[in-house]
Amino acid sequence: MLRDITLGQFYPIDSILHRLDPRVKIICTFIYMISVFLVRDVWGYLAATLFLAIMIIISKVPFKYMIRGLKGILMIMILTAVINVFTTPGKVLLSIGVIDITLEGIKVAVRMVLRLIFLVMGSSIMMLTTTPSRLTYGLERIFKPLERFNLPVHEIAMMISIALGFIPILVDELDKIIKAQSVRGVDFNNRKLSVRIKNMIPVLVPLFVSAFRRAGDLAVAMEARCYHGGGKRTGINPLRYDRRDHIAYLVIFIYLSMIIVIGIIF
Amino acid sequence: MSIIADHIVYKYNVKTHFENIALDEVSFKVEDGEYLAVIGQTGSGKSTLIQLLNGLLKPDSGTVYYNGEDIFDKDYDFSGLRGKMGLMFQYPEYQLFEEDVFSDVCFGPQNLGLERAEVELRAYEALKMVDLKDEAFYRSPFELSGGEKKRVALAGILAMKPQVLMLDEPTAGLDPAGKKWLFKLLKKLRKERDMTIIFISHNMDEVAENAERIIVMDKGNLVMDGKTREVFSYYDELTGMGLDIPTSSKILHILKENGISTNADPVTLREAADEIERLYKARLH
Repeated sequence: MLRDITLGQFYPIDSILHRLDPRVKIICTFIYMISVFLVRDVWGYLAATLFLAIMIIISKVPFKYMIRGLKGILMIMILTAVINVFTTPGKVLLSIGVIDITLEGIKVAVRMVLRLIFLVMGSSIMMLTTTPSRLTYGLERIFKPLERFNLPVHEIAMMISIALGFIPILVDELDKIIKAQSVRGVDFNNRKLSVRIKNMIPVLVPLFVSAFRRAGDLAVAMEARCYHGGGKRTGINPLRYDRRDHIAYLVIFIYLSMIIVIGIIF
Repeated sequence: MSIIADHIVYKYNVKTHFENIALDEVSFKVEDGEYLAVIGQTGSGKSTLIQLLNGLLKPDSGTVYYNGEDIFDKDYDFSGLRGKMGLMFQYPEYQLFEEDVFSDVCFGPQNLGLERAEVELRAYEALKMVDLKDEAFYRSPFELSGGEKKRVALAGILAMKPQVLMLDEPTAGLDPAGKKWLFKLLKKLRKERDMTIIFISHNMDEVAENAERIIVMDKGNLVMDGKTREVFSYYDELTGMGLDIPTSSKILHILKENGISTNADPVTLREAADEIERLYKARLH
């Protein structure tokens, strides 16, 4: 039933992007997202597309996994396009009743949709090449300076990674509960809404009971190991910048300069 | 009347890079009233196998016939199968959800579409069968001890009056008395209701004492299928697969290694004790 679920989006394969420090990937993705809002003309979009294409190729992740993220925002993309096409004033190409389709409208719509695609695919590359735990660790290190302002950065990162760790466990549990209740005659294939809602109870009650039990057990296990969030905790795989990480920063810097230069020239 | 597994192939994560064959062309037949144990190392495909037998999982190829009918045929009455094949999972926590024990046991027969009176009668009978005290009937299932939860979970399955009862590691988490009790109940169910019983176990002693036939799974393949005595005579093969053998066989094996010839091939502890007694007496004379 749920046998094909994998955690998050991570695609396990060995590539240069997979080996990069998560901090580099987070920062570079952020810079790329900013760059997407800086481009205005054809050349800029071409540069952004080219950069994305190169990243997809060196990530070694199959293209269909990249597209997957776009499915989720398909409706938003269509809505953005439609609104922009009809509401932007300018040279009228076609009039349908009170609605005018303008040349400027089409241009803006294409631009907006492209931006959305870049944003989603850019972050997809990061998610596909980094395990959730490395990602949270990277975020923790990036936001570490905020601890000066009494922000519990480590605790928040810890909570996120525990929550992420629980997802596959709960999915597995959900699968078993559904099976156990199917054996007792619950028809999960029934499409009727009232039946489906009624079927939720015998699944959700055991799931919640088990989630609370597991949370309690984990708390006791952490307590027993004298876990304490603050202080000078060290990681088992501490993040250290390597040569390739510096090169990655250099590459993104060159890319950003290019985008800015293109913006000034044209 | 039988269950036939016909060349079942089952894969996990089909069409991804995680693809993994859990069962590879497994075929066997279980006749009515058999008492069968499925053994094998963790990850050998035992649980997957019994979940396929009652249609919880769909094979990638091959099929299962129950009483001559293909259960994966699109016209097959799946809801009817639920009442005929019961399966108890290892953790009772996965199925208990009602406010009190009695309503929880009523849940199964209720789903079969029976009348209220019949549902309650069955629930009562089932709870009596698992020897649960009357005062526990209206307690919350979450307040019970682990062993009691297991009994309630089993009652929930028995109340559906299945013809085939499958149990995934039924003795896990039970104390010795609880284990003894469970096998006594299974024996009784077989005798009184003529049930087919299929159970998964890692404890070779309980397999030896109870099962009449054993299926041995190894890395998704069915490697042995035979009478309990016969299967346990393959000492080297079983230990080679990382499986244990019954204590009784082990003792006799040690005796053989030390040059004491035994002619019997005991499986149960009783038989081993008799054989040792015989050998001992033979020495005295």
